[in-house]
Amino acid sequence: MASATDIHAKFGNVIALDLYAPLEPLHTDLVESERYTGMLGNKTVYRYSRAPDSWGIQGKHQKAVHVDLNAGSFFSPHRDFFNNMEPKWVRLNCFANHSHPEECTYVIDREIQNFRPGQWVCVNTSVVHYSFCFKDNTVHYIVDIDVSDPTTLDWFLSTIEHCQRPIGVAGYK
Amino acid sequence: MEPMSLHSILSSYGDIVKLNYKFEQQTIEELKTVSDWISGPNNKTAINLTGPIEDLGLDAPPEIKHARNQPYNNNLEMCPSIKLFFDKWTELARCRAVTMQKGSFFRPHRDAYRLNDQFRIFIPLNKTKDKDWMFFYDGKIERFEAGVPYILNTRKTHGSFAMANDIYHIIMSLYLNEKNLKQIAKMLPDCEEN
Repeated sequence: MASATDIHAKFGNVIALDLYAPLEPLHTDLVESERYTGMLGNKTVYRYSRAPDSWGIQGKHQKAVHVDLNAGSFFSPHRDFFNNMEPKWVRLNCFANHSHPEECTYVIDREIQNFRPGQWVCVNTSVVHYSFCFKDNTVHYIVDIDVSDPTTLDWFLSTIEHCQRPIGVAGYK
Repeated sequence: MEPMSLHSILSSYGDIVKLNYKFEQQTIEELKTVSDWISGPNNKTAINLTGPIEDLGLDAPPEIKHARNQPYNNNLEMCPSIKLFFDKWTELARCRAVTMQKGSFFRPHRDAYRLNDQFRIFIPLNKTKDKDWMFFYDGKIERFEAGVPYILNTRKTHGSFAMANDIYHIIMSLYLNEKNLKQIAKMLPDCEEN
C-alpha cells in the first residue's frame, strides 16, 4: 500500500501534475466552514464538502479548500502530517492565479517555487513550507488525496508531468 | 580611484557581506523613544535618520532623495548607538529606520539600479528567525543575524515579509568612496592577514 512517504521519496518534494484548474469564484454551495475571515493581513480559508468538478480531482479525497489571499496574507513556516511516518494522504496545491513568486512567494525546504498558474502540484508538506502574498485577490486551492486507495493512486500517477510517454514516437527523450 | 573601480572591489566581497559589528537591544530601546514614526506603504512605519524629519521622501526626486552628505537629524540624535555607527562612514545619503508588523512587506524590487555610485548597509536589529521574518534575495531565501550590519547589493532583486510584530531594521544609503571602502575592509570578518 503506497504512502505519501513513498510518493515523495520517489518523485521529490514538489511534483508537478499535468492537471490544471480554472480560476473561479467561491463555490458557495460547497462551503462547510471558513477560517481566519476578517483578520488583518490574513487569509480566508473555505473548507468545501468535496472538490468541485472543475478541479479535475478524481478518487478519494478530503479537505478540499479554497483560500483567498491578499497583499500581506501569509502562512507561517510549518510542517503537516508530521505525526505519521507513512501518511496515506498526499497534498495537492493549485495556485489558480498570481503564482509567480513576485506575486505570491511559496517556499518549501527554503526553496522558492515558481508555479504555473492553475497547475496542480503535489507538495511534501511534512517539509517546512510557508507562503506570503504581495497581491490582492490571490486564490489557492488545496486538497488531500488518498494514495492508499489503488484507484486514486493510479489516477494520481497518471497525472504526473513528464510520465506520459508517447507510443511509437522514437527519440522523444 | 574611479567610482566604478570602487564598485568592482565592493562587488568582489560578495552580494551580502556581514560586517564585524553588533548592535544590542539598547538600539531598539533608543528607536522607541522617537515618537514621530511615519506610516509607509504596506503597513510599515519609518523615520529618517538623515535629512528631513517630517517626510520620508519615498517619492522625492532622486536629486533630493539621493543627495550626498545628508545631515544627521534629531531622530538620529535620540539614538546614540546608531550615531556611533554612522560616525564611521562618510557621504551618507538618506538613511532610515523601519518597523514592520505582521503582514508588512517590501515587495520584490531593485534599488540604485541606475548608475548611482551608492551602496547600502542593512541592519536587521531583531526577529530574524524564519518564523518571524523572511528575506528573499535573487531568488533565494537568505538568513541574517540580528543586530549585525550587512553590505547588501540591492541592485539585485530583494524583498522581505514580516510574520511577527515590532520588527526593527536600519537601512543606510551611502556614497561609495575610498574612505567608506576602507571602512568596510576594516570590518570584514575573517580577513586577518598573515
